[in-house]
Amino acid sequence: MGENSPRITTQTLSILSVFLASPAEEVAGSDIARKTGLKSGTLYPALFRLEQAKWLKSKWEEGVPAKLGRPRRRMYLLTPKGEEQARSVCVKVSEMIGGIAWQST
Amino acid sequence: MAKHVTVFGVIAAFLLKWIADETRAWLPWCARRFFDLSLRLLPPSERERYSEEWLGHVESLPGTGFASAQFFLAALQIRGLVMKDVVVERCIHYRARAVWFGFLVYCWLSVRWNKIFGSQKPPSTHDMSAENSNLVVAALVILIAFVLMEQSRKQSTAMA
Repeated sequence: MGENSPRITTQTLSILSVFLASPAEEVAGSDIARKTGLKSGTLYPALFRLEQAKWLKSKWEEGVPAKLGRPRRRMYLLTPKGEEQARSVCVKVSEMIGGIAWQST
Repeated sequence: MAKHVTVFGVIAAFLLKWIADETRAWLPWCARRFFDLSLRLLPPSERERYSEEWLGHVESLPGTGFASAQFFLAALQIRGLVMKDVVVERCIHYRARAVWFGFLVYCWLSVRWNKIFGSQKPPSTHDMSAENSNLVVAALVILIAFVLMEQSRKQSTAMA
């Protein structure tokens, strides 16, 4: 997996904002979909890109599917590098949006 | 006329209900087939992981049968992302091979030039001593090939 920076789109930003709201918390794909309203066709490729760039890491949730009574969920967690990069991206984007809003008034 | 319209309306209503029932009955099967197709589209290394992850997703967020089309789109994009790395690696690999092939062709041509093209030498060999120019070009080609091979080896190691 390469470590290039992922493409920052509005969808990527909304995924990152979910993680930045509670950086130490592990989140499942379905929870991100519920919070952001993103469809799985957009969500999973974006998560894959972020994982490729080592901004996120993932692992299976604890437990056996037979005992859980459902398939295991893949839990995503922000890495220290990802947190730093995500915060800097958010700052840049908010500065850009602030600049545009200032110019338009 | 009114009689025809009434008969047509009854038949149309019956047909529409029949189509709707059939579609509803076939939708889970279609969704399942679409889901399997999406998994088959994924690279083998990612198939097992996403099979369980997406089943978990469907379990937590049950949608309509059309939701499986989203997994199909996701599989296409993930496949593209994984294959991009493979294609780049192959290009690097074949670029080094192409340089070696070019070098061999050059050596062969420099030996066989007279026999193939008659007595006329290539323009570059008129000005300089043929042997010296051949040696310089050969050394340069070997150097470039070596650098490219090293570069591709480093990139392959980094990707692994």
